[in-house]
Amino acid sequence: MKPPNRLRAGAAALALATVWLAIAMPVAALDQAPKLGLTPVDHEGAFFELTLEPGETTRMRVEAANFGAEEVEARTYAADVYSIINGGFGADLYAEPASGTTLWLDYAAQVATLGPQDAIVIDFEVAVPEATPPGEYVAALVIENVEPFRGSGAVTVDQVNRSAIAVAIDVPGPRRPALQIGAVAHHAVGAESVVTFAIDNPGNVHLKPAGDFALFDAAGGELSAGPVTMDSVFAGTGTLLEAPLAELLPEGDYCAELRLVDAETGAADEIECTAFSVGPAASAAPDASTAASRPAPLSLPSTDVLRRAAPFIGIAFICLLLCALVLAVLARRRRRAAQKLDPVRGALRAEAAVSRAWIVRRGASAALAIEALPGTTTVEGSQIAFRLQKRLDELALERPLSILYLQGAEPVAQTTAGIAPFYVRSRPSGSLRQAGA
Amino acid sequence: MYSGSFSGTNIPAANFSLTSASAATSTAGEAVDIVGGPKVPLTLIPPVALDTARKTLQAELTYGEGSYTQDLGVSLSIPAQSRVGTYTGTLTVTIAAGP
Repeated sequence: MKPPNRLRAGAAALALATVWLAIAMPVAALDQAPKLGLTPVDHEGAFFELTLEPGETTRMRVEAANFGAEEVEARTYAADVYSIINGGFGADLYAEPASGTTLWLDYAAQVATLGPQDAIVIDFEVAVPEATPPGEYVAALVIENVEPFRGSGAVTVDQVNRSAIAVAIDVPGPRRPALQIGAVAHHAVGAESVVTFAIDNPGNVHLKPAGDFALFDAAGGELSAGPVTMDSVFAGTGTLLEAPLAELLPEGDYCAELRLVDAETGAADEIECTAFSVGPAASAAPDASTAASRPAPLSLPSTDVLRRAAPFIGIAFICLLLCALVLAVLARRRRRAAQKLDPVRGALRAEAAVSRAWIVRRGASAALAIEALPGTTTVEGSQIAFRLQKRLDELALERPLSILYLQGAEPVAQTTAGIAPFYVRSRPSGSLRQAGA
Repeated sequence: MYSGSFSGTNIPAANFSLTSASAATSTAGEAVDIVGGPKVPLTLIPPVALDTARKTLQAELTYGEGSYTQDLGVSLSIPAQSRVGTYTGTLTVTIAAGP
């Protein structure tokens, strides 16, 4: 359907042009931001993966390169690895004290001036201490621009661009996968509540846990529930799992449940109704003293920038008006398209086990991805998909939809990443048995 | 960090938050794959405070060999009665390859 796509593309181009014109100077400079990278030499893969016995030493080589168009003073160093919030690879910043596996690397911090497309090769040693217990270990090599890339304006953000690669070391021997869920806490971010769980990996194997989370009020009523997925929680590290909620929790007492399992190793833990409280400060309505603390857009320009940008602001205003007109037309078309989906929503609501749905577009075709409540069996899911496909065929939609049945966090993530779902019910909650199916 | 002549104080890093993360757009090399990425992690649900590292883009093994752009919306909460001056923050962006 070419006209709506052209309109959409036109609106996007106008919006981008408006943003560009309003902050022309800083945006143009971003093309000159440093682009540095580290690449293993004579070693397959994007990072180092080694198997070493206790007491063994090996020599490795890494290339430090400048992929940008400007000369850069680059710093490279070895750093501790930690598990970031919700799991994932994090490398300590420069000057953080090194410990553990990082001390096995004979990789001195150094500074080098690299011209455009220039590179140097650095030799280093990895020495595993005698009597190191078996398990999975990891450290990081990092390269970054020494001088921060300068922002401008009254509120300035300088930028440091880093590239980090892992030195992952496997010391052979028995594996002890272990997972522990710890304290539950709450904090507010803007107008939304976030429930956090402390997650520890005291074992000797890296984990990628996934599972389910549920939140209850003081009376035991379920407020929210759904699947959770974490990226890597490295052996010997701890981190937090964040479960964000759509709203700010009122002051009061709550409890949360969490069940996590690492599919590869079977390491698991769960907590039942662990209490936490939301205090009055997190739920207070905005008053005069807090009104000035509302979040402000970062890109507010200073007076000097405004004067220089004055010739562009008039053009930007005209672009904004045109944008508003195009977006109004698109919104009207979107409302009409949504009305056409009403029969689909009706069919979905007739299925008690369906909690969320997405329209997933793949080129010229489209699919309706559906997610079932926890506890739905594979057979029940297939039956749901069969009934819905039959119903969709009967509706004879202008753009036919095929059915993608999804269950579990991973298939949903893989198929619908970046696409917002619409909830068939207000929030997915309860199990299949609680839904009465 | 504050710099100026009016005895201002630093704004906490937790006041700086990520408010949106767009899907990645390929500018060179391998195209974005709906399954392999690069893609926004499901675990990232803005707004999130940037006083600690947050993953905004990820790619599975053998994906993401190219150049990509991603728009990140950020927001800064300026405390009431902040003093006149220049406030400078450092945003560290890390491209990481690891297990």
